[in-house]
Amino acid sequence: MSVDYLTAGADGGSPAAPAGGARDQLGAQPTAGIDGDRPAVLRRRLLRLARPVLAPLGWSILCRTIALAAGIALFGLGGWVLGGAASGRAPAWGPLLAGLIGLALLKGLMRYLEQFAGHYVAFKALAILRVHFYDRLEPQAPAGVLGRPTGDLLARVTKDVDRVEVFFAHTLAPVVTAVVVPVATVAVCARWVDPLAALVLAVGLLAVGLLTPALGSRSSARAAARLRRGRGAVAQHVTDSVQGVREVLAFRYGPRRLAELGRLESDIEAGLIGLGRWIAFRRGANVALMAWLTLAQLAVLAARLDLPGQLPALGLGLGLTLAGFTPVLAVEDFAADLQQAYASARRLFEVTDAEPLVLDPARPDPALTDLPQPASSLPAPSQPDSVQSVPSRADQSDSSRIDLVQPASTGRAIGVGQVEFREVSFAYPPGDEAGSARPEPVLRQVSFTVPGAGVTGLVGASGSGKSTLGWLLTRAWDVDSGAILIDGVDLRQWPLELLRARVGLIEQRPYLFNDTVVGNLRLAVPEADDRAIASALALSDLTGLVEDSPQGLDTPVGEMGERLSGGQRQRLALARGLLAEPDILVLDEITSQLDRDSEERVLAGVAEATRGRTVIAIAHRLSTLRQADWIVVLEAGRVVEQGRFDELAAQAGVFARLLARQAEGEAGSAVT
Amino acid sequence: MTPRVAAQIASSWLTAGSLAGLYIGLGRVLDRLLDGRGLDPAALLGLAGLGALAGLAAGAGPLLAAGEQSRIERTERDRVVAQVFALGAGQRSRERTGRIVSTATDGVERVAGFKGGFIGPMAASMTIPLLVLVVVALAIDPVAAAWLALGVPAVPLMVGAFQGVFRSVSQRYRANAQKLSAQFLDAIQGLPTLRLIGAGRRMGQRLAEAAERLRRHVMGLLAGNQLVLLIVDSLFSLAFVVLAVGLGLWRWQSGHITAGQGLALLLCASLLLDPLDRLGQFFYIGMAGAAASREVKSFVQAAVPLADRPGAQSPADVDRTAPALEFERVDFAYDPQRPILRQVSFQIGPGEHVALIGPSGAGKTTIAELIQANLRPDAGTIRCHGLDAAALTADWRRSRLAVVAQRTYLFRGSLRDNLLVARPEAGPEDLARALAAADLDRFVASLPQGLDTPVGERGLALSGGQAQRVGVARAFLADAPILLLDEPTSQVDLESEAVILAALARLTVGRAVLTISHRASTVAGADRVLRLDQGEVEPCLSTI
Repeated sequence: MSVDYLTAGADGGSPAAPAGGARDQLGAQPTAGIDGDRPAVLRRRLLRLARPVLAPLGWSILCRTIALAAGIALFGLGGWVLGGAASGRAPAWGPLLAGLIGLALLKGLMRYLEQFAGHYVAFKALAILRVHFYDRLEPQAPAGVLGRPTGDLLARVTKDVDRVEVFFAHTLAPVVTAVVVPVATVAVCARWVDPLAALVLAVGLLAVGLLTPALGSRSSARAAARLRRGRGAVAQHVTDSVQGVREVLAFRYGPRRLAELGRLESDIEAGLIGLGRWIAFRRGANVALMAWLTLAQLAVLAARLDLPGQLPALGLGLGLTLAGFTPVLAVEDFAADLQQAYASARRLFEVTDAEPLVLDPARPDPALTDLPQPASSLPAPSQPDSVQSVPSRADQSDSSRIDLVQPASTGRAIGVGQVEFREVSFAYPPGDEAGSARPEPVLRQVSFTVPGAGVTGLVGASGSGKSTLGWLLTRAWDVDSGAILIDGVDLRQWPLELLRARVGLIEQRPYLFNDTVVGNLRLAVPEADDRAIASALALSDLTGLVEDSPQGLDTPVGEMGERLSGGQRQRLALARGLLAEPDILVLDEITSQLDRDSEERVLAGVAEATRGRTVIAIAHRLSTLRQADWIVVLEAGRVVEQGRFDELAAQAGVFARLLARQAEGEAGSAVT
Repeated sequence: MTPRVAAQIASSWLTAGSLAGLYIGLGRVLDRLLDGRGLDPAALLGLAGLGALAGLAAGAGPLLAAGEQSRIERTERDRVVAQVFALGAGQRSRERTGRIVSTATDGVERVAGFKGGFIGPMAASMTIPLLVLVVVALAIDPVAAAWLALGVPAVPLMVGAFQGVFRSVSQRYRANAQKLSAQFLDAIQGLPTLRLIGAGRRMGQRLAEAAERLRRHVMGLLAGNQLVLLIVDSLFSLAFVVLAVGLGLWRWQSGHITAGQGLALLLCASLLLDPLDRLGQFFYIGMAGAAASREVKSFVQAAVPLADRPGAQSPADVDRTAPALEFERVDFAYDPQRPILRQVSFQIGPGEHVALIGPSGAGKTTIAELIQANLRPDAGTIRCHGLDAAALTADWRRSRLAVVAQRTYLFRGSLRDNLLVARPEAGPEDLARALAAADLDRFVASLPQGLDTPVGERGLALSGGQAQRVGVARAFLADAPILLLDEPTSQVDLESEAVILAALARLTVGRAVLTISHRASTVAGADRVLRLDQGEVEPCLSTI
């Protein structure tokens, strides 16, 4: 009946298609399989998720039953009374009016309660769905998110969730009442009017309630899928247009961009019209069916009843026929939107069903379960045997020539933060869009050791795999073969929470949230006090920015930090990383956008903040690595050189060449 | 009112009229039976035909609505996105992407549903009772019709009253829904970072709170809106059904109508209710749609701060000897308290290569924005080929300019799509030349899908250096006389920088170039170096 367009949007509805199966192309990694697409499965899943808030639906169903029955009784009683009067029985005016008015008021009140209870459940359920979506997406990050179009993800969590409202608020109660109320109506008709008339009514109710809604269900399902796909693509295109507006303007790409949008709109148009065509057909069919049935009913009643003596029964029969369709007409109404609700639920489950690429260890290393403890107090657990592809200790000793710089292995677990890459190979997973332009392995058999509590520089051309090493260290992805060990324990044995608390990564292109300066910092460390925040800002050379802004710490940074300069964004991300005080800090070209003075201050701050911690610096300017304890040079995914700065500079290798080019560039114009 | 909306109203009228005719016919059939004259097959056939007509007319409505809806959606979305482009780059930090996207998708959808599928049926609902009553007056009894007519004005009155009351509520709802969208977008785009800093769950909590706030708003809105149902339902059942029964009885007893007419009166009362049912049903689209309409309208009609001045020119020919680019005493401030640029003057001759250096935050990027017509000076003059930029269209100024910025935005699509952004008519040879010049040819050749390789959102599929080289290739394709290099290598490492600088060296030949940099290594080869400090530009004397 009351299809709720407030939240369900305004597509005008789409028809039911229990056999609907066109899967949305935009999603990734659907694991639910073919069964997961079936409406029955979707229904069960939705109900299971919303179980805690479903109770008021019982009230909704009860109230709706009463409201519908009152509505039918109103017409039945009217017909009965008019018929009775015509057959010569004068009505008792008082009771009659009281009865009619009572029914009218009851109907209104019950309808109100039905709607309120239904919506109460629906919106509780939607809030649950939204949170569920995020909670399931969150562990998939970053691997599961970096490749997905975020505009489409946004459409799923907002609009698709809204669409599911129809299922909770406008489906369950109408389904129940579409069965209960017509059965009662037919029974009344059979008992007090005529069995044959009851049969005619039953046939009509079945036709309107079952037959018509099924008309064109298959092509409507296709149209609905096309519509949702079109909407997803349009949302993505608009997101790109807004975020890339600078390029759009610079290349005078606007008119073409609009033309592209126009082509995408065709999917929406085809979907809307495809749906509209069948809605039109079904609505028209229902109106005609009801008209014809009323007519047929009159003929049947005229033939079967003894007139004028049985005029009241005729009046009752006509009233029941006319009003009896209300509950079954609702089927066509909700079925229309239900199809879209299922399509939307499918799009939600597509995302929530994807398994995180990286899972918490089933059996964490026992030494890591109590945390954090001083390294010395830890027992030395045995080598985890479940880890595959870990070369033996003997293999390892060949490649580790860093015994000099490395503090003697402190054993295991929470130690000084020694990081070891053992024969690590990695390619971005296929199907993951972030990797689609890189079918080649990014890392090939990379082995090196990062000494604990020291600074190690990673050097190499862009695309050589430096940043990937940083991401792998946080277990954004897992290595394809080989292993990464922290303090001798395979990353995959570390509880994720502990791992990510110990390892900090400052990204090359940091993401800042649309919040204030201090809001971005507190997001990382909510309990940070003002002193810690001031100190992190000072170490990142941001004190000036905060002092110069009228709003100080509460200065908003804008969407994705747009109100800050590139250098300020980098420094704020650094402050955020330092505030968390990780044992192991990966700095991915954090000074690439800073001028020389600021870079010096920032590096001094970092050195101060990370004393006694392990730092892996992906270096932008090689001269900044002069103080590093160890330097690893990567090229095309392989380690080609490693050693101390002076040693490497003295060799005629890749590092020396990089260094020479930089020196030459800077000598060429001594401007700063 | 568009023809389709008018046709929707007409089809609703036709449906109601046919059904009223059918019901009156049923009454006549009954009267014939009571007179003992039996059923008339021809009359029954005629009535069946009326039923079919009602069905046809009822079907026309949704069909017309779908067509109108998709037409409106297309044009309105076009306007919103065109406005995004008109507002330009400066708008981005003020309006959240999520909010604009929500206006362009959800907002536009609602507007289309409102204008295409609501206004027509709504107008019909207001008028159908009158139509039915006219039929009743003519075919049954004018007195009964007159009594029933007393209830008719209540419909528009009540709708008007409710709309006034609930307008602000639904606006608040929209504002909340938009805020939630923006929060979700921010969280989803930053999800990798959230995971890194261990704040995923905290953000989840914030989102849960926001979702709960939205739910409470919706419930508040509904608690009020459903009162409409309560009142419409009870009052109109009372007004029309009970009244029809009472009138039928009274007028029959007083001998003014027949028994069949009495029953027909009751049946017709159902038609008086039907539009009201629809009204309750459509109330949400109406109010949410009206709110969305206002939202779309206010976005589309927002003043465009950088609109071209009236009479701005796009000259066909330029003076090639004039300075390609000139700033004369240019002032600029985002915030009047904190000027960014003060009396900045410099010029770049045709074919001259000028470097602009200065510390981070000194205003270098602001100068780049002024050159690209993304900002407008507060005072002073910018000239392009000797012409006052204020008298030129922004589009023309941009056509004279190619930019390689700090970051190259890659649109979702293939590598080829991203190159064609700069010049849609470029052929395979042009693309090959640009790729070679940007030193991307071997990389592209190594890709199994070549130029058809998709690049992800925000160019995540490519490394920073590769993305920048796509930017260089675009600048090649754009082939403009003035080249702006805004720290194009600040995001890449040395090896890439060397490659990009070599590519840029090929690109700069024969063009006027302004290179903006905080680093010395990227400005080697400039004819002149300018230094920007504290918002003022001066020649850098210590050069070369």
